[in-house]
Amino acid sequence: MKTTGKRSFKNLLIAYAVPIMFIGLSIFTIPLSGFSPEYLVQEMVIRLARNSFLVLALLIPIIAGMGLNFGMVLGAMAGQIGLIFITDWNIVGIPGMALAMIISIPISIFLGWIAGNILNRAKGREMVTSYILGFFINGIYQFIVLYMMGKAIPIGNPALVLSRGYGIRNAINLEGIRQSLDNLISLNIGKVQIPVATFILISAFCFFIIWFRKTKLGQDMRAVGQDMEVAEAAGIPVNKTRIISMIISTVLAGFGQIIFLQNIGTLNTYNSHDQTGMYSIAALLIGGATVSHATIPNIFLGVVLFHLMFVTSPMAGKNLIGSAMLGEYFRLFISYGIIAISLVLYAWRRHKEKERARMNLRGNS
Amino acid sequence: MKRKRLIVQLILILALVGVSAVLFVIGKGHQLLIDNKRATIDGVRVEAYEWVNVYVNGAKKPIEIEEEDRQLAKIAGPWHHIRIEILEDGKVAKTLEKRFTVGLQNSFLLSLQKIVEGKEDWLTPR
Amino acid sequence: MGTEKSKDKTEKNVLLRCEHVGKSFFENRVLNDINFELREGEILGLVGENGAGKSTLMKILFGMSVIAQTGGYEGSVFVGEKPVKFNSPFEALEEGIGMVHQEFSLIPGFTATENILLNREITHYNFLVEAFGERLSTLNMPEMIERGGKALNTLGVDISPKMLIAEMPIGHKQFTEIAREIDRQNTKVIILDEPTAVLTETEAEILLSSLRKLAQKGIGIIFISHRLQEILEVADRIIVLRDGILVKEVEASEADVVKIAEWMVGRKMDTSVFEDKLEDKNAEVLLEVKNLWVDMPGETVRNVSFEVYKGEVLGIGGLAGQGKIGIPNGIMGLFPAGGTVKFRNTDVPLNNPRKVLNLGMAFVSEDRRGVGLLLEETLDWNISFTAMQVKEWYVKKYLGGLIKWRDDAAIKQLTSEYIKTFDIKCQGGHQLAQELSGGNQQKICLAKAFALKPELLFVSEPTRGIDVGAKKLVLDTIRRSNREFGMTVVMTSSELEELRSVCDRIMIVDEGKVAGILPATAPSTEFGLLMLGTSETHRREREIQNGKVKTK
Repeated sequence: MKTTGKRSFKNLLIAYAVPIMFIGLSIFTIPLSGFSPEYLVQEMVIRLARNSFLVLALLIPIIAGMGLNFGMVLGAMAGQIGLIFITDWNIVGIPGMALAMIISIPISIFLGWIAGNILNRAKGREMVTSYILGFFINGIYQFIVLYMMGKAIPIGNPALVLSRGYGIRNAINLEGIRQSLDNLISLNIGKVQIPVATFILISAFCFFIIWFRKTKLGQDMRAVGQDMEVAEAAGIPVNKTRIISMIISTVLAGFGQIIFLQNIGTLNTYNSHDQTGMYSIAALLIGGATVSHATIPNIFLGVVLFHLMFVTSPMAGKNLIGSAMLGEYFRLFISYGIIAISLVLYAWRRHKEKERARMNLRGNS
Repeated sequence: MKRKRLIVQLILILALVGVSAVLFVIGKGHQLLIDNKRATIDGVRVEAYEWVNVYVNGAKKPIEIEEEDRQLAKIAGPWHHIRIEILEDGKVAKTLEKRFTVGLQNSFLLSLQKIVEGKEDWLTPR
Repeated sequence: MGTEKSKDKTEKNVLLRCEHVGKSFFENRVLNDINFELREGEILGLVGENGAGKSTLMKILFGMSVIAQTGGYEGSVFVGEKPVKFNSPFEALEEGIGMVHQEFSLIPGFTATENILLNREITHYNFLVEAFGERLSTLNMPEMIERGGKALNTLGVDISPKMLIAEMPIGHKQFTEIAREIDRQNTKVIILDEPTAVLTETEAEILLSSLRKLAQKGIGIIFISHRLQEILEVADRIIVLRDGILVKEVEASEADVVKIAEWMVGRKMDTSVFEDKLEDKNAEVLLEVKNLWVDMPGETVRNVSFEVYKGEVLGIGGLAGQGKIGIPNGIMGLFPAGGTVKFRNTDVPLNNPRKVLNLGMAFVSEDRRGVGLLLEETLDWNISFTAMQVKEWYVKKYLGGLIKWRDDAAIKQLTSEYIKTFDIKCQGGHQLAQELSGGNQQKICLAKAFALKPELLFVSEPTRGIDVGAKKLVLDTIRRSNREFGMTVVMTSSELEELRSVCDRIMIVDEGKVAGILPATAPSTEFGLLMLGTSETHRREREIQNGKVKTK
């Protein structure tokens, strides 16, 4: 009895190794940063509202067994194209956001379909393939935004266009929709302002995922995610299911990017999507998710822990060594490092599980 | 069955396009330029007012326009109303409320003088 | 029971009939003129050695795509009176033929119900279906659980329909698989491929009784098993395949284990190539293995003890997947292993290939292209590589061993020597290993092991995938090295006749344990019985475990 209790505790420790590590780190950096609790809570609330939707978009490909998907960067690009158009047309407020989302849908569907088809040819190597695919689509995105817009695609607003007459400027002011969702229903608890509408949207997404898992399609995705061969043998169209999961994820990532940018208020045309995938994946992994398994609580825990690190580490670095650059370096290091560590831990854990499963086949030792 | 689904999908797409059109109209942002400038209306000279408070779409804080000045208000969508308070010696001398709709143009010029004089062309796109 | 069934047999409808079914994979004929029929409520036992054509026959019946991809089959299959030609398993399922495979096709993270109803879920309608298709309807879990439970109940096992597959003992997984086939409304025929191989004795009992229950409901069952006792117990009729030919069709009541074993093995040519069998029981023990276990996927060795005498050729036989290949791989340290192994009375460290090689043992792997050869290197390198690495032979040392150079001249000489003795067909030592034929590659593997001048050589499946002529040459080489150079050899092979022709003694491995060791001159039926894990063997095995019988 005692040994099983010990073992399950150990398994729990192993399963939550990454979040535990981060909680441990935060215990050091929070006091070192010198931020007030109110400030930190406010920051976390803002960042939860800003990032959760993007991270949630990662969930469906994980269910379908496609791992952590950098393909969401494609959705982010689609969302940004939507934002460029509504800024050009000067559509503001919630209608502007909604219109940007609608514009992004066909682009996301198309990009998701491409990504799904390519990933179907690279089964088992989805993560790296989608990462490289992100770079490739980034090239096309830049071509469209830098050369086509203002020429082949009419852009009326001169404030958006580079002085040479075509191509979009590097920074676009999104003042028309800035925080329009966050401020739609705003609630103050103490000194902390809570963007209620954004959270309503995020919880609607959570309910969508919960509901989706109970649909036939969701069930098929779970089956495909766990064992492609068995699913195929049962007559589930594996490739099609995987493509659908990519499309859904890409569309939702597009929405997520729009929600993200309405909070930030400026669009860095050529950079905003760069870190989207990396930060979302890092946050998810820090929340205790793995390549093959992620839950909704993982997402919120991960976003909080990751951004706690994100906010506190530059200040902690400055106060400790007198250089904020160190903290800046540290958070980049963290986000890449955590992905590497989580993947290694995951592989190690899988190996251990396999060994445990075979244990009873070994000698009577 | 397939056919029915296709029809439903088509309707959905059309609905989405419809919604987009509606969003475009109700979300369209405009610049409203409000003029408090001397003007000649039907050959009659109308002087600029000393001070005007303009409340756009029920805003709590007014846009304050001095004599011979022009102020910018940002509005979105087609339907608006404004309340105009014309001040003389620091007191409200005259209050005026107006409802109006705008087209899809980017900016509009509103002449306070023309409203007060009861002219039709007080709002012109530019 | 058997008489009752045979009485009303003629009244029952034929569910499945094969007429003149044959199949060859390219030049290799695996099935020839198979005729049989399966009636309603009948259990048909199908037995045969590995490679007798059982699985090919089942693949044809179940419409597996391999068959169509390799040119289809001859003859015709009828379901009822309707001729069918399946191009995919789905078409077979459509006609009511279900199959339970040897490997589980279950999803580990799903419950029993979810697996039983995989892709046949019961769903609720919702309006989204109209726009996005049936797949957006939601699952009706309560009803699904009820139906899953019903299917499991039909089998007479007590498994919760909500239990996760991953948490099930292996037997329950098997039942879940069968329940899946039962749940299909139109299932008429169920094919079970070795369903009891993974079950414990009690589980197997339950399975057999549930098969009888199913048969009573009118379902026809084809039951493949190596456990002849079970076949005799449960089947109404037995058909025996040997080398792709249906050699015997018999009522179960008229057969017994020994007869079936005889039919399976047949009166094969018993002429041994080498007649001089070593019978010297007083020879020195070279290798002593006690309670060895090896964790080699697919070839698990559970508990094996045996001795190898100096100067003999010991054969290790048994059916595929029973663990015979695991033994040399475990001793050589290629897979996690435990137990005690003594070589010349010194302990052999397990899980350490280098040490084992240093002790004077060598291994010719069954995985020729993977472990055995450096395919993209020359023959020179292939033959000398292990010797250079392990023994530091063919290496010139300078500065007291600080700098080591390859001794190319010595390597060349060595290679040409082996090319000559083994009669390797090649252009010379500079040729790449991948350019050689399978037989010659095998000889290179042997040469590589011989270059170590080992005292004990393990050879695993030396004739797998090479043609008849080359087989003889390879076997001759092994035998000659044993008789002429006094090299002790432990040879693993799936082909009993091959073992009998080369070895002095043959050990049969069954379910990861030693079923028995017999002199190579023993009649092949005795080996057959050992391989099939009949009651005789189980008794023997128990005695071995209890220490009553020494495994010599």
